[in-house]
Amino acid sequence: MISIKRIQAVVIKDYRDLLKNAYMLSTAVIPLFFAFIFSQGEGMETAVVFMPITLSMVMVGSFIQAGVIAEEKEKNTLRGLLLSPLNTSEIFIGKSVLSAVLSIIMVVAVILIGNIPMPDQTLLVTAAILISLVIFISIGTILGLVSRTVMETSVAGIPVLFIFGMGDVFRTMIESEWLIKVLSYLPDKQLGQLLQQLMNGQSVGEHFLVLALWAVLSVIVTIYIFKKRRFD
Amino acid sequence: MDMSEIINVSNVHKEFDGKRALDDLSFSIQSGETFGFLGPSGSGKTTTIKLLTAQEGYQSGSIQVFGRAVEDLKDPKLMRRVGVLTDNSGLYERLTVNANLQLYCQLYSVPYKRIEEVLHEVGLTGEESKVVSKLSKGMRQRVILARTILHKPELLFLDEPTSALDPVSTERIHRILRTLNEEGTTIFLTTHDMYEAERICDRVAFLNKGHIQLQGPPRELRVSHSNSSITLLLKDGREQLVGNDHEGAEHIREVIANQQLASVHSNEPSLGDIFARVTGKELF
Repeated sequence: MISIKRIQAVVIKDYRDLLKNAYMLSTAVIPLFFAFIFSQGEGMETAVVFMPITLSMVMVGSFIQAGVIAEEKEKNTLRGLLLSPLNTSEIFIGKSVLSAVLSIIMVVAVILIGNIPMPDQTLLVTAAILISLVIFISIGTILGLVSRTVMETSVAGIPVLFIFGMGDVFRTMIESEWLIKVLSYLPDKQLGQLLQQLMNGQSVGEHFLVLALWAVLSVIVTIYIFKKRRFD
Repeated sequence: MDMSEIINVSNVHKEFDGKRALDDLSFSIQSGETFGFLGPSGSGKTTTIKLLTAQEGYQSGSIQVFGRAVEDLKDPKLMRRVGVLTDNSGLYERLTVNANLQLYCQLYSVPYKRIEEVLHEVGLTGEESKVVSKLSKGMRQRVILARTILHKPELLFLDEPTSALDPVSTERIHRILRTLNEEGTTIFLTTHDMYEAERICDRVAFLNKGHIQLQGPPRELRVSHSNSSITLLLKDGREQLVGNDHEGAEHIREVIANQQLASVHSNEPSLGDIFARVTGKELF
């Protein structure tokens, strides 16, 4: 059974800790600079118009989440939580709430600062962003679990940043059609296409399905790695 | 399993990648006992604690804690009855002592007023607003101990609790552990410090290469491994070795009558000596 009280305890601790963590705080605001730079450009290509949104989810959802998890391992505090009445689900949820809330705040801020045109279907947009958040936070948790230190997450996170956060930039340089096809199934691209098609009034069911599959898969992989690496 | 038994370990084997870590491990711990696991680094002490707290599985044998299979410790209700201080337990360094303990108060549903009480128990009254990163190593270890006993566990697992601490901090922790034990807490302790084991343990087990070579109360072990001789220190500084028999008693009487005796010393070996004798190894 999941205890809200125990989850809340972890969230409050993480919040207090984050306020004193300069590395995490500076990482959290980086997407705002990107959004500002994007807002200065004119005639932005459709392919990259939603990039600041995915970038903020990678920087905040994945990087901060990875740092939070890796620090628990690095400082040997995760073991303390595991040996307390917290169960696995409570640890997962508790350790993800702060990254999720920060990500949502940053996504909204990025949309506003970057003047990013958004579809009118607020509910669908919210659902798509929340599903994407599950994916990026899971990726962050995996990064945190496989890294031994917070510094390692920065190194291990670079490919994630390039592939998921700035993938649209690189995709414009690729000529191989099969590679473009494969990359088009990555969650950032799916989210971008979903938002674009919503704006164009087109069907988005397929993109939702792909994003949902990514979310389920990433959560399963996260749980598997957690069970393998939690006491390392 | 006996009703007063808190832990029962029976014929446990544990391997890591085909390499034997624990071999036919068997022992039991009674309620209210302080049980010490002595052994050099790599002998299997930490592995044993990991098995007893369900952090690791094992290949064969059985482990029962509170009369239930050790795997049941994953149940939060049972885990509440246990406190674990691992060899590398950490604290949230950027947070205060108070914030660190508040987290665990919430996790164990313990009121915040217990923090003041537990800090008093570990001799850290008035330190609650200090940031952990500013504390000395000894103080940090006491905060970790405070966190471990915050919920008043019935059973405490302590993995090298005084490792690398200064003598003053070590003495403080020994006092705390003795008090906890007097209050009824059962303690399972690993150490390679035979002095620590002699001071606070009711029973000890010598672990060598994953196998228990000897176990029993420290006093009994020392007496049973004694060579029965007595050393007399004379007032002129000389030492005399006499047997623990009629002849030796006559000699002691004579020395006392001649007012030559400064002090009498039994020649019981230390636990470290016994360990070395039994295993052919030093504890360090």
